[in-house]
Amino acid sequence: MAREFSIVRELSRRELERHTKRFIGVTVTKPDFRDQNGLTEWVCDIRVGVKEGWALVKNCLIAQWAIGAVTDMNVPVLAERSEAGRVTIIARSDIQLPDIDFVSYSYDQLEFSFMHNLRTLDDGSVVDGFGYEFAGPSDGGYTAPVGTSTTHRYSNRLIEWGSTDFDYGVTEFGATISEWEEV
Amino acid sequence: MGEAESPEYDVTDWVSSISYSENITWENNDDAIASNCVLSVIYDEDALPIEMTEKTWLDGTPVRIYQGDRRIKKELWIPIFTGVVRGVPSTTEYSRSETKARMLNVTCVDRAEKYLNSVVTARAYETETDVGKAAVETAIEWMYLDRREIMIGYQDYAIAHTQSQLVDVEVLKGVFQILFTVGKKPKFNGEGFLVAADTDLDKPPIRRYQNKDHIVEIRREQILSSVNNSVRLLGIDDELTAVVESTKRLAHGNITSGFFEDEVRHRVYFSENDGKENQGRRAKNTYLANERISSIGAFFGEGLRWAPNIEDDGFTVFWGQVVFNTGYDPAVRATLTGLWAASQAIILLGWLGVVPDWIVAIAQATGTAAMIGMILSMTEVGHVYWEVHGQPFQNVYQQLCSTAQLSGILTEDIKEIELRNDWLYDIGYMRARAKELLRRELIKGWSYQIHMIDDPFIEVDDIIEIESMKFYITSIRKNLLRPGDGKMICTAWRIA
Repeated sequence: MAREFSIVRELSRRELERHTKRFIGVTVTKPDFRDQNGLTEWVCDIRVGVKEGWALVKNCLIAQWAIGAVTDMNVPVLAERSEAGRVTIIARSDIQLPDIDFVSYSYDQLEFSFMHNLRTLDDGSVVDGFGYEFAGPSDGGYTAPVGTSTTHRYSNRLIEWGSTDFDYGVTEFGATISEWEEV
Repeated sequence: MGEAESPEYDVTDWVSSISYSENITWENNDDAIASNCVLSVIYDEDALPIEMTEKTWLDGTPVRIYQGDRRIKKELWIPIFTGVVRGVPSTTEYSRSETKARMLNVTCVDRAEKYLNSVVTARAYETETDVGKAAVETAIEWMYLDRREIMIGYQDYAIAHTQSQLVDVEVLKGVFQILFTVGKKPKFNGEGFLVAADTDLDKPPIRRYQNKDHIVEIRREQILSSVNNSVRLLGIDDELTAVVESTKRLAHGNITSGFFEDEVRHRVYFSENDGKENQGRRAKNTYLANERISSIGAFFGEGLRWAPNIEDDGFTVFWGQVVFNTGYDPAVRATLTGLWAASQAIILLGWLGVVPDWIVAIAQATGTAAMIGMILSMTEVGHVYWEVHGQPFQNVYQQLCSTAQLSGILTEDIKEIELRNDWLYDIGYMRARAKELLRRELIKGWSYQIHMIDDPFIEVDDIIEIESMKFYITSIRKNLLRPGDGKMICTAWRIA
């Protein structure tokens, strides 16, 4: 497979161009895989720099957005993932960090609890507007359903009233019951 | 402001209605005009003290609108708009329809209009200058405002860069960039003063309604675009960062030397700024490489070394010296010369019969040997090729980046806005600003239209609280009629 390089951010490209055209190796450590709806994302620490000045970039989100390519999201480096799964990230200068700062906030941390599209039922479970159970309202904007790690397909079929032979909740539209099916 | 330099005319009686509109500025676009209004004016050539025709409502004529009630004194009316006439008013010259009062429609915009196209390169502000001071001085020097027209004070945020300057930017946009650092933005308020409107979402509300008695309707508006859920804020570090290149050849050259000197010192600069020692290309970890010495004599070229001139920081090198020791001892030449001279003297003495012949023979042999030695030493001329290698580096003001993002967003769902301000320099401060800006982007998805009882004290960028909900006002529209309907329509972002 041909090697693929890509950068998501235009900013990253600009930052690269600002510096000299030299490639410096970067190592990825401690990958913490997150598998959401079929997309592989992971958070890891990345070391950027030359021998004289390694700097650690903590909690970089790396997402696999195309086969064979890993695109760094937050660091001005090029990244590549080989077919064997090894991650190689290449930067073009020893950008001294922490010049790049990334923080994610939940609605609650932003003091926007009214923005949640989730609601808490009497039994304490948290569900979205479709009735699907969520881990909790504190996960911010979009939160994957509890325990999901696979792709889901929406189907609409008639089933018995009150049936519970599916995993991810039920939304009632009259006699028609819709559900998410694991595929 | 407050005291017009030209005569002021009260034309209240000729103005039948005003359509007033105030909008939020500098929000995802460069719109700087906060307010505008359309006046319906009765056409009257005989009006006093001045005629009410298109000749008096000229483009650029200052206009101030007060809102009030005739039952109270005019001095207590509230100025809600100060601006200028824009363009030419419309009026009906002829109509077959039933005679109506001939009207002028006059459009007025606020004072920001004047500064939209004024591109300036302003004065550079030095480090430690408060951005409030920079904004005020920019307004005085480049917007030609009087200090009394500017209601901007110290902002408790000092410039850290050596120099900061607005370059080739619209002046009001430049002031916006300055005030952006502290979460404020310039606008002309109803009285015509230049103010720094605070965009803080946590500031106290200007009105707190315990019930909905003053509210006619609250309606959430449809939003036709996705809301940004990530903010990328860019700034520039105020401290230099070294960007180091890979090791490469920095300088190279030749040295030709020989019997005539014992040591050669050759100054090497990494740029062409010879004579300016601390300027030009700089490097670190320099060393000598690829030296090649070629000579005839076997004793030539004892040593070649590199003596970098290291700056106080312990690693920066602008220049250095290539030191070449030829291995030649000047004493040899002096010795040989002395031997030859002595032998000649002995030979002379031999001719005079002072010394015996065998001594003269030794002297002749010694002199010849000294001469041969001299000749051989004069062939000790050689050639040295040298290279200096090292890591060039540049000191740059590095770009800083702080991203605030809503958590739990899938990669493909990220919708990011990028904001850049070169007056920001502290990553910790930028993190807080990015968070605030993210909050600001998110509330744009919660836009409401509020019909309520008119309150001339409420302006755009104010916060009102209605029972348990808080709103950040983004626009106000109202029709000032006689008699008035006493209502206004606000659009607002819900913030709590």
